[in-house]
Amino acid sequence: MNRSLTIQLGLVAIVGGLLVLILPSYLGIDRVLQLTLNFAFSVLALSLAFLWGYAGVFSFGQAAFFGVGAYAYAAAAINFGDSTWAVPIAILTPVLLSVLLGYFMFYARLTSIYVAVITLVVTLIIYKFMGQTAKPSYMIGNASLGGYNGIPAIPPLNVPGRIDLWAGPVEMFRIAGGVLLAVYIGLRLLLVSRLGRVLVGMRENELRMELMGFDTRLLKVVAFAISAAIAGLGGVLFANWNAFIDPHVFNLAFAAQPIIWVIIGGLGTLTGPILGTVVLSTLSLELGTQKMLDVNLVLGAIFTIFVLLVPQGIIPSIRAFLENRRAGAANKPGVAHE
Amino acid sequence: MSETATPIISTRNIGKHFGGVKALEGIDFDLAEGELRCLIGPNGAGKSTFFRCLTKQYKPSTGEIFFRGRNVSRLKTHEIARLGIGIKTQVPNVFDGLTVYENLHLAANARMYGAAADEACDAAIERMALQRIVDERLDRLSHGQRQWVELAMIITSRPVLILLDEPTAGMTGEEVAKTAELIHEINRDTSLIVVEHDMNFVRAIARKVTVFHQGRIFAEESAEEIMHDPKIGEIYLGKRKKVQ
Ligand SMILES: Nc1ncnc2c1ncn2[C@@H]1O[C@H](COP(=O)(O)OP(=O)(O)OP(=O)(O)O)[C@@H](O)[C@H]1O
Ligand SMILES: [Mg+2]
Repeated sequence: MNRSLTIQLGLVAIVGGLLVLILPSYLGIDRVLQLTLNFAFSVLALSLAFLWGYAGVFSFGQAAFFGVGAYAYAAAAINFGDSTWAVPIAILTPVLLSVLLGYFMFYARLTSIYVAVITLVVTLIIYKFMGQTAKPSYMIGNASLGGYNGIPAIPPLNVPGRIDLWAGPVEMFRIAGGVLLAVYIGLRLLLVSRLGRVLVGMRENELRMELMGFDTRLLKVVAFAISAAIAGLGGVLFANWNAFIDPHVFNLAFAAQPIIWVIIGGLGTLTGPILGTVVLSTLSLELGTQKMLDVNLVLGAIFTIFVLLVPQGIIPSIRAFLENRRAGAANKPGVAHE
Repeated sequence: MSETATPIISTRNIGKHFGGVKALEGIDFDLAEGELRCLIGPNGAGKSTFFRCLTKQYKPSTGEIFFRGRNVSRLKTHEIARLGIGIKTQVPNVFDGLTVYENLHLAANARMYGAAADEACDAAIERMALQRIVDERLDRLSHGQRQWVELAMIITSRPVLILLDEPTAGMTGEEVAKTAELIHEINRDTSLIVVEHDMNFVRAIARKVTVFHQGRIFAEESAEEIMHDPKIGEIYLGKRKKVQ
């Protein structure tokens, strides 16, 4: 790992960590809750930013992993009355689902359009399924799934092994912020590792990777599983946010959200999708407070206009602008060999 | 290497059909360890299809492939590559969005880890004189340069058999000469099959030449004999591809 990256990530950790620690003292509880939700959604956005933007695998199903993570957390935390094991379970469950699904899709060498459709369909099937779990027979241990009414009163995160030390809203803000920072830094490190570079190679030219001896089917399953783990972690934060989860995380509108966040923020970046998430979530919240215009209509219009005007997304466009200014005239490539 | 030694690669009755089109038919091909062979033939003769079958980009419709005597007909593309078979495809297959260095580093990572990969990468840059363009993105290079980088990538991953499909297309005269020199150098420790249209180039690099015509092996003789074989002149008549 090179020096400048170490310094950069060190700064992100320190500045981000400090902000996460001190911000709650300066913000009202409303803002604290809103940002906590933004953090959870940003983790979801990062799962797709990584999978699509770096491994080149588009998935419509990140919300499904997020939701499965949230449900798994809820069920485990209710049964154990303790979050210690609920968190790893909430990460492993979507990972298992992703490995199973990924194996069938990628080993069958389905083209990306089929992968998109299948991940969406699986998400919608889970939506339908969770919706009809209102009957009392749908229990996971002591946890009733509750159909469209969802699962209320999910136990909050606690210090591992200490159920008396549980997280209130301010602690949740710090945990969610810390998780977001950790996922961001972890992904940056992953991307400079051998695996990360190999995944980018696969995005750039799958055939060349195969011709050099890489099993791209396996690489896709691995990338898919990593993204599912991240999305599941986001789901844990979401389930904690207001101690409640219901099937809407599996519906079409929600499944489309991470895709929109990534597109707006910029594919092939990590900061972009975080920015996209915060901006769009805030916007939809603010628009929700007025009654004049339909929120979805306005958001849809903004999205359409944005994609037409800034097709690369926010962060890549800013980068291109800065680079052009720095470089001045484009420098011509040199001769290969002389 | 004696003639009776096990060939590094051989095929028996390889055929590839696309619907009714027989792109390849009954190909029996042997390449000795350490040999440098040229494949020639008019456009559409099946040369690239043959390479695609060898690397399992296409599943052959008939026949079998042997690598050092082992039947490898059922292996997948990446498993063929892991045997140590590297290929430069007819259309350059590189990582366009990445820099020359990143391209080479990925190639090195295919066979090595950590410091060994870094070293292999630096060695290739040195050997192929790529210092001036290491930080350029591939999509900003000329066609000839991209081919040259692709050659460097193949060398970096240290294969035992290299397939080159028209390596000099789009290169300047000077670059072609460099490539011929490089091929000779690679051939010191690596077997090669080179598809090439330019007969001067073929004569410069190879002793034995296999001629493909309409999906079959039409002739297999020395470069000199090919030059004076009237039958081969005929199949090329009016079909000889111009090397740009
Ligand atoms: N995927 C495919 N589908 C249908 N036909 C194909 C396919 N690939 C190759 N062919 C056909 O197979 C025949 C051989 O093509 P191939 O590309 O192997 O020729 P070639 O000898 O490499 O020619 P060139 O010198 O132009 O590169 C051609 O008739 C071509 O149209
Ligand atoms: Mg060809």
